[in-house]
Order: sequence, then structure tokens, then C-alpha cells
Amino acid sequence: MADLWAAGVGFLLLIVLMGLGLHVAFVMFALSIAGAAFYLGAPIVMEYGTQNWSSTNNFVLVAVPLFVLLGELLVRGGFTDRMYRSLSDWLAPLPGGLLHSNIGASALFAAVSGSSVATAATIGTVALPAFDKRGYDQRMVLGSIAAGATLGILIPPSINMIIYGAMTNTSVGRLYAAGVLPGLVLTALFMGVIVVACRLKPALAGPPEPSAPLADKLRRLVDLAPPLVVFGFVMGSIYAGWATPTESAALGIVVSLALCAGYGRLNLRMLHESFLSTLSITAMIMLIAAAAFYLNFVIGIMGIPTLLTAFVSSLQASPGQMILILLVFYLILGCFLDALAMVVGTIPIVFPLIVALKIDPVWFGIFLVIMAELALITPPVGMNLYVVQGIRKSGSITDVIVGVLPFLFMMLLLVLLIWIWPALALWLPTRAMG
Amino acid sequence: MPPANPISRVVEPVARVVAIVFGYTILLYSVALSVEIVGRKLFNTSFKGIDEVGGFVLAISAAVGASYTMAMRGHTRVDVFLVRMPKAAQRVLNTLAMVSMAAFAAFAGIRSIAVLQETLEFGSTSSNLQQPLWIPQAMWVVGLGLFGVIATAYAAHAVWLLATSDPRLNAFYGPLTVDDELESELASLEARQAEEVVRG
Amino acid sequence: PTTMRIAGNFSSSVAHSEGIERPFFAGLPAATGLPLTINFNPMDVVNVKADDALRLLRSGAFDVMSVQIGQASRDDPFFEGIDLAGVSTNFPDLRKAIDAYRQVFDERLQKKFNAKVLTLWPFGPQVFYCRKPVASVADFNGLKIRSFTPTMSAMLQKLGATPVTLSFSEVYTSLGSGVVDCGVTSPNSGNTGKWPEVTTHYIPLAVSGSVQGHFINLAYWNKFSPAEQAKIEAAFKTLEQKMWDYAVTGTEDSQSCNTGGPCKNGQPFKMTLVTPTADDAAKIAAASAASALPLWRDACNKIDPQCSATWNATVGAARGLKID
Ligand code: NA
Ligand code: NA
Repeated sequence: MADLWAAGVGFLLLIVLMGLGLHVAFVMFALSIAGAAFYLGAPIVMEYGTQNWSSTNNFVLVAVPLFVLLGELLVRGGFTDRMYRSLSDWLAPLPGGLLHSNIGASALFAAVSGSSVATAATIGTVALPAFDKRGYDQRMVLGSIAAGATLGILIPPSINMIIYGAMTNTSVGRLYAAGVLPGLVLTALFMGVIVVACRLKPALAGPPEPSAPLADKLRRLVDLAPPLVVFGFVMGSIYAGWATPTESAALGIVVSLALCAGYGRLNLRMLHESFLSTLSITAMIMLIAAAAFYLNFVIGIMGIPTLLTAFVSSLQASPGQMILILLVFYLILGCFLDALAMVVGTIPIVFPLIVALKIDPVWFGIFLVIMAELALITPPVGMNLYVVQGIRKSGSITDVIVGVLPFLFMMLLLVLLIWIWPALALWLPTRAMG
Repeated sequence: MPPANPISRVVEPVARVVAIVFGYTILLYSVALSVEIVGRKLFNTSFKGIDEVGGFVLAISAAVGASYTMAMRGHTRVDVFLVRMPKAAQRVLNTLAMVSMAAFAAFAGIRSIAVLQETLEFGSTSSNLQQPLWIPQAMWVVGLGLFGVIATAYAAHAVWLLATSDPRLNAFYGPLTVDDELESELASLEARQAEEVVRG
Repeated sequence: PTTMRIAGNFSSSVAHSEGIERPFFAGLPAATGLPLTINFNPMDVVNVKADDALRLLRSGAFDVMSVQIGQASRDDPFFEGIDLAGVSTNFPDLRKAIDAYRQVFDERLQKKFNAKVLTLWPFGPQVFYCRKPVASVADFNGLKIRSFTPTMSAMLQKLGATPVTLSFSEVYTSLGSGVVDCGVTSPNSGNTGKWPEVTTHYIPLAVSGSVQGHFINLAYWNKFSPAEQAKIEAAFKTLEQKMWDYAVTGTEDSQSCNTGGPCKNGQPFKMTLVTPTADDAAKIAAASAASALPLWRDACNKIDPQCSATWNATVGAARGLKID
């Protein structure tokens, strides 16, 4: 039988092999196979095929390609560009000016996109050119985009919530509902930190700009409608009892497609490009997810979660202390692991602890998503940092890293808030679905 | 633009067509699911087992898509430490990454055949629709088999480049840099803006 | 000492998994006097899908598995014959059906899946939890009811309902929001899963008994001497009895808890109890005969032409039914 030392060595290997640049999915697969071969015997090794079929043949996870496609259609249909412009009309007068547009646009795009990296790429490409020669502090600009985009997985829909739900048998509908208020609070915290920073140091923001004529602003307000309509259909259909979360994604695609057609943006080229992105991202995610499901199968039989649960129980940690330990654990882990790999790779060992301590699985899902958001913006491995730096194509990555710092503290503050008031996450799902 | 990988020049067009076909499949499925939602609420009808079909669509799409993702170098790798290592170490690690991926893909492909064999032996039917399970599984096996073959070709090529000290190894098989990824993102933005200008 | 690797019942069925199985397996070495090292995990904890049970047993991935027969029948519909929708709607009838089918069931399991039956028992009657007022079977007409087997879907359709398939994790929320009007599960599972929070009417019309079993890999079984095998079989007889007892007492308690009666082990709720009449039971039986049985016959005879004949000679004879 395996012991905790073996588990520790395996975990270290996981991080080292990923650090060497081997494919993330392969590393999880290889360690599972090694554990199975060494401790459990050939039948468990050979079971990879059955496990692979049964984990990928999964209706809950169909929402992954559906939400990716939905986001692609809206971006390639040009809706995001116009949404950003219209939001700027109204948010630019605030202290901090256009910086708020980055947060607002991220939050709004998050309401139709399930991925934070997609949100960063989309809002980044749209927003960064707008700051040229406007005299804003580069770091604030970059930080607000990289951090704002992490809202993509907290505000529903969310690919991370879908995968968490599938791995732990937690209702995705409840997770979605639980993400709404923390998502709005985090949006407010991000905007708040911009206001405070720009009050303290007005040079961070550019000079105030002449407001566009009210008529233009009102006319452009309709550009906010497409994402709101899609969000309305997706979330509305879930909570009005028309559809399950997975089904709602399909409805979102049909609505987006209709919008693209209605605005004359639908053509074969954009459709095919959307398909290619969707297949590519889906295959990438599912290869990692399948490896994680197999990892769960192997280390579960090896008894590692049970050992770890027994070990942690022997420490007699309270749920509160446990969350604190996990906060530190995920903060450190998030520096070195890809955010998705971190979530799916740790669920098999951490979730049994959560169950044993009687921590609400929906609440923990939200906690985990916030930790994944943090992982996206903590160096050295932080996808959003690199996406934003990549769009900018000049200067040092240090600018982005320093820029996200104030926002990073707001995320930690949010963790504290949901810790003190679990209702922040749990009130809405209880309210919406009993 | 870096020199084009000769393997990708063969693989990419094929993988692209397959990926587009399954893009249409996903689109078609979402239309069917929307009809189900509306039909169920308004007309009290339901396609039995439409969720089951969704599971099949996902499993097959993920399998066939893996090849296209491979050709586009889209499977996640952590590159921050790698790119700071000496070029010679990068050559070895990049080759190792390709070889290990090929082993993974080949194993997945071979084990998927065993799953299909059992299904054929038992005459298994899908749980809800009670249709023969071998049909979706055979497509899944073909997808994974393709992935195995393609990954092996890339690995062999990487090993060859390493053995012959070919300088292009890191350019072909290093992790996709964020710059590469955003190239297309920015191109897409420019295309949208151009369209915007045309429309006024 | 031999390791016995076990995949147990779903962890969400706390009473079965933690309450009965885990202590049973922990005590198995002592009960049999065999030097067994026990490796027990609920199947969902180790990411095992109920559909794959027969394959995992055959390959020896697990030595002993708790098998949900309805789902495992994906790989052979023959097994579903033990408990077809609408055939046995109370415990005594179900007991007769299981006893009659046990031998042919075990033979087929040994021949085709390299495994042997140790226990067969019901999870509990599969009853209706509805969020709309229902007074009798006639009121199912036009309701959307979550179904999870093809024979159940066929029967529900015959009753005029719209069967809807949903993944289990979404059933609670779907009942809450109204994607479906009724869900079908056992009184225990529904109570543990808090379904009464999102439904109002409880209709204890058992459509099936949700029969489960513990099966052992044959190669593993044959490692033991006949004397040791006898000890293991005797121990599993006590497990089977515990599961039957729980099905009976747990069902009574949960039913009472759900509907505002005295409540010992479950969580108290105040659903409206709809007592089915003889007419209702007759309608269920008729719907089953007209839909579920022929559907199963066609699926099963495709794999084994003798299937329905075997059923007629066993379950059919015991329950006074015949599939043409
Ligand atoms: Na989102
Ligand atoms: Na990070």
C-alpha cells in the first residue's frame, strides 16, 4: 500500500515534470500509470481505456465546447468591440476613467464566456489599443485587464465550475448561482481599488476626456444588448425551469448565431474559425480532464485521499483552519501550476477532506474558482499575465506583474469575505433553487 | 514567420477539415438541444436520450480534436522555466515532450481499441437510446488512433532533428509562445475592425 | 494475506455505503477468519461509473463490486430482467422474482463476465416525488418525469407522461426550477438527497425495486479453498440480509419522514402523501406489460434468442406473467 511519503514524492514529481515543459496532460497520466503499475497491478493500468471513454462521454461536460463556441461567435461577430466602446461612454467619467471600462467589459464578457483566458485575450485585444497615447499608467492598464479577465470563471457560465461539478457530482446550476454575487462583489472591489488608487495618485489615469454627445452615448447603448440578451437566455432558461445548465449553453449558441446573422456578421469563414478554436480548446481541456479523472481513479484505489483525510483529521483542524491551510496551499501551488491543472489535479485529494469536514461543496467550489483566478495572475506561471503581455508586445512582463498586485489583494479580500459570510456565495443558490 | 514544420504541412489540412466537420456537429447538436428545451416546455415532448448523444459528441470531438490541437501546438505546456534554459537542454526537453506525448496518445489509442472490442463482444447498447454502442465508440477509436499516429510522426521527427543536430528543433517543437497565439487573435481583431470601417 | 479490492455503493447513499458496507467489509477478515487486507472505496470516490461495473469485474480491476444492475445491463440486458419496470411493485413479489432469477443470473454472470453473485437485494421501491398536485396515476398524463432506464421511459410514456433523461447531479435543481415535474427514486435516496425540499407530492407507487448486487471476480474467488469460499458466502449472506432489512425498515422510516409522520433516522419533511389505489397499481402493471416488457424482450433476444423464454420460466412463472 502507498503511504503519504509516496504521495508527497508523486506530487513533487508532478510539479517538476510540468516545470520541465512536458505536456500537462501527459504528466498527470504518467504519474497515474506509474502509481497503478507499481501499487495496483496490470488490470488497473489497462483500465485506462474504459476510464477514458466513461469520463469523456459525459453530458455535463458537453457544456465546455458549447460555451467556448458561444464566446467565439460573439467575439468574431464583433459584439465585444462595440460592447467595450459603449461601456467606455459611461464608465470613463469615473475617477480612473477608461480603467473602469476594462473591468466592466471583463465582467460583461464573463457573463457569456466560460473562460478567463478567453476573456483576457478578448478584452485585451479590444482595450489595449484604446490606451495608446492617452497618458494612463501602463501598469494599472495591464493589471486591470489581466485581473479583470479572471472574472471569466467566477461570473457564470464557467468552465471551471462545470468541470468541478462533473468531478464532484455538485450541481452546476447551484455553482453558477453561487458565483454571481461574489463575481459582482469582486467587480466592485476592482473598481473600488481603481477609484482609491486614482484619488491618491491622479497621474495613474489619463486626463479627463470630453464626454461624447449624450445622443451618441444613448445610441451606442444598444451595443450592450447582445451580450446581455445571451446572458439572459442562458441564465434565464436555467432559473425559469426551461433548461439544465448544459442545455442552456446550447440555447446561448443559437441566440448568438441569430445575433451574428441579424447583424450581418455570419459567414463561413468566421464560422469555421470559431469551430477550429472550439475544437482545439475542447480537445486541450478534455485531454487534461481525462487524465485527471484517471488520476482520481488510481490514487483513490491507492487510498491516498483516505490517508490524507486521516492525517488531517489527526491534526484536529477546524474547518476554518483547514480553509486557511488550503488558501496557502493553493496560493503557492497556483504560482507553479496551470490553473485548470491545479483544480482538476487536486480535487481527488482535497475534495474528500472537504466532505469529511462537512464544508459545503458549493461554497468550496466558489473558493476553488477564486483560487484558480489567483493562479491565473500569480507569477511565474500565470496565463493571464502572459496573454496580456503578449498582446502588448513590448516592455517587460514585470509591468503586468506589478500592475495586478492591487487587484490580487482584492481577490484575497473576497476570499476573506466569503469566509466570514458564506451566505455571499450560498444565499442566491438557496434562494433560486431551494 | 518561422519555417513551416514539414509534418504539420501534411497533418494540419487534414486535421483542420476533420475539426470543422465536428464543429458543425457541435453546432447541429446545440440546435437539437435548443429544440428539445423549447419542445419540452411548450409542447411536452422530449427526445429521449439526447443527453446521451451529447456525451458521444463530446467524447468523439475531444478525440478527433486532439490531432488538430497537436498540429497547432495547443496542448498545454508550462513554458516559463523551459524558455530560460540553455538551447541544448531545450532541444532535449522538447524532444522528450513530443516522445512522451506520442507514448500517451499511442497508449490511449490502443486501450480504446480494447474498449471497442469488449463492446462488440458483448453487443453493448447505449443506456438510454439502446442503440449499438460500437458506433460512437468506433468513431472515438478512429479519433484517438489518428491522434496516436500523428503524435508518433511528430515524435519521430523531433528525434530525427535532435539526432541530426538540426537547428530548427526548438522552433518546431518548443511550446507555442504567447506571441504566436496572439498573432491570430490580433489578426482576427484587425479583420473585425476592417469590416467595421467598411460598414461605416 | 490477500488484498480484497472493493468498489462499494455510491457515497451519496450514506446508509448503504457508510452505514452497512464499510463496517461489513472492515469486519470481513474477522467474520471469515481469513487474513484479508480490505481496500474499500465507494465507487464514485474512485471515479467508477456504474455502467462499467461488469467490465471492471471481468478484468479483475476490482475483486468485489457493488453493482447497480439497471445501469450495468448496458453490457447485457439479460440482467435487467431481474427487475423490469412495473413487474414487482412490493417486497414479497420482488423477493419471489429475485429468487426465481438468481440461478440463471449467476450462471450467465460466471460464463460471460467472469464473476459470481454474492448478494442480490433491492435499494428500495422506486417512488414518485412530484412538484405538482397528483391524486392518481391518471394525473401523470402530461407531466415531465425524470427517467433513468429505457424500460421506465417506455412505461411512463404509456401512462401519458413525458420521460426526460437528466444527469443525477441536476435532478434536484431541475425539480426546484421546474425543468421536470416529477422525479423517481427510492424513499431513502430522495430523503437523503432532500428532494422533499423541492417537491410537494409523494406517491409511493413502486415502479421497480432498483435491484443491486455484490459480485466477485471469479479468478479471485477460485483462489480460495471450498471451505474458505463457504465462509465468505456465509458472511455475504448476512450482508444481503442487512440490505433487505434496511430496504424494508429504511423505506418505512423515510416514507414517514417525507410525509410528516414520526421520523427516526431521516430528515423530517411535510410532503402530501398520495396513497395509490388498487386501480393505480393495475394501471402500472398494464402499462408495463404493454411497453416495458416487449421493449426488454426485443433488446434481450437480440443478444440471446432464449432470453424471454428463460424469463418466462423463472421470473414470469414466479410472478404469473408471460412475455409473448
Ligand atoms: Na463566465
Ligand atoms: Na500562477
